[in-house]
Order: sequence, then C-alpha cells, then structure tokens
Amino acid sequence: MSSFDSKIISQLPAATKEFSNAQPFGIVKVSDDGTIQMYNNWEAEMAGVAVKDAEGKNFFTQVAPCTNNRLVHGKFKDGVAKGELDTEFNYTFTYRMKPTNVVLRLVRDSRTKSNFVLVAKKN
Amino acid sequence: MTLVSMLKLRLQDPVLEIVWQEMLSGWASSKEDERAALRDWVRGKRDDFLSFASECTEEEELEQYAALQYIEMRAHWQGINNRINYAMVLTGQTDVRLVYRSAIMSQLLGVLEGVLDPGSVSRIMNFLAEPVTTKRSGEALAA
Repeated sequence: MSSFDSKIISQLPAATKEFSNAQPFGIVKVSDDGTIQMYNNWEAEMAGVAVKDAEGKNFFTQVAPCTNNRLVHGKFKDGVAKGELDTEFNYTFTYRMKPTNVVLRLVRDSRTKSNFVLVAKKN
Repeated sequence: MTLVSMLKLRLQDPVLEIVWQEMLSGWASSKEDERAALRDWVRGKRDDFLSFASECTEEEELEQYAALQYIEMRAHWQGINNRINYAMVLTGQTDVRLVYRSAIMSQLLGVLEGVLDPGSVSRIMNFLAEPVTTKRSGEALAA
C-alpha cells in the first residue's frame, strides 16, 4: 500500500503552493535537471531547510545530497529520459539532520512534463 | 578572520558537541559504550584537524589540507550513505550504527562547508558525485 494518496498525486501538476502546504507529506516539484521549483512546508520542516533556501537550488546535488546516487537521482534521470516515472521505495536521510526513515516516491506527469519528489515519514 | 581562527571557532563551537549528543541520544537500540565509541571517533576526526591547524603556519597549506580532509570525509560519507540506502531499498532495514555514523559525520562536513570556499565545495561535490565515467575509453580498455 502506498504512503501517498493517489487522488492527491493526480492533482499535483495543477497544485498551488497552498494546496501543497496543506498535505501531510513532503512535496518537491523539480525541473528535468533537478532544480527545485516548489518546496512545501512539510519538507522544509522535516529537512531543516527553509523554503527560500531550497527553491532555485538543485534538489539532488545541493539540498538533499544523500539522494545524489543511482538509487534516487539515477532513477529520476532515467525516468525523465523515458518520459515516464512513478516509483516508490524506502530511504534513510542522514545529511545534517536527525536520521529519518522515509518513503520516497518519484513521479512524473507526462502530460505537463512536471516532476515531483514526495517524502513521507516511515512508521 | 584567518582560516585558522575560523576553523578553531567553528570546530570548537559547543553547539557541535550538543548536536552530536542530541543525534546519538536518538539511537534507542544502542548501549552507552556504543554511543561513546561513535562520539570519540568523530571527536578524533575533529581533533586531528585542529591539531594540524595549530601546527601549520602557512594559510594556503591549511586551506589545501582542509579541502583534502573534506574530500576524504565526504567520500567516506557518500560510501556510508549508499551502503545504508542500498540495504534500505533492498530489505527495508539497514545497519543503525552506520546510520548514526553518517549523521554525525555529516555535521562535521557541514562545518567544513561553512569554512571552505563555496566554489571549491561545489567543484568537489560535483567531482565526487561522478568520479568515474560510465563508459571506458578505448585506450583504457586496450591497456
């Protein structure tokens, strides 16, 4: 069973900042090269990175360097190249934060060509 | 402010010890001696650094040393991070000792990132993200 509500995922391409901030998990909208276009409040609080310090930076190399590997960044790049991406897996964040087990989901909406990294705390 | 004084100020900041302590206190399944061993290990890394900072009289040499230490630690951290997460992705579980080692080490990396030239840090991070090419050159294969 997914940690993310499929109904909410389907609304992400048209989501406003308010909508994203109202969700109980992290939502990071990124361009094809990984630049953060939108970083919601849940993610900012969990990662200890202010929204203003995250937006405009590269998610994989500058904001969450523990994701800069084949497991995450590689899957993302492969998905963008294929124009198809929807994968979910367990992960552990440790970079300059209290160790946190999470579930990551990488999603691409092929119609709008928008990409999302979703983060939920693992129970 | 000189590099030496900046390094001493940041590395000896009591907040660093407090953050390490807080992180390790979250390691619920550990015994006190396991937490102490990890704390001593990371303190040793910091103290080695401070020791050279006190001995080195050349600012440029110290900056080079700081960058080399950063590269070594960063490469070590990346290796641990990948080990943790390959296990996590494959099995849903991972070595908790490595998780805490990674977390406390990343705090030390953060301190060095605050001292080193941002352009140098960026170059090092880019290189360490892709230290090898995915395709070997014909020459390398022929050799």
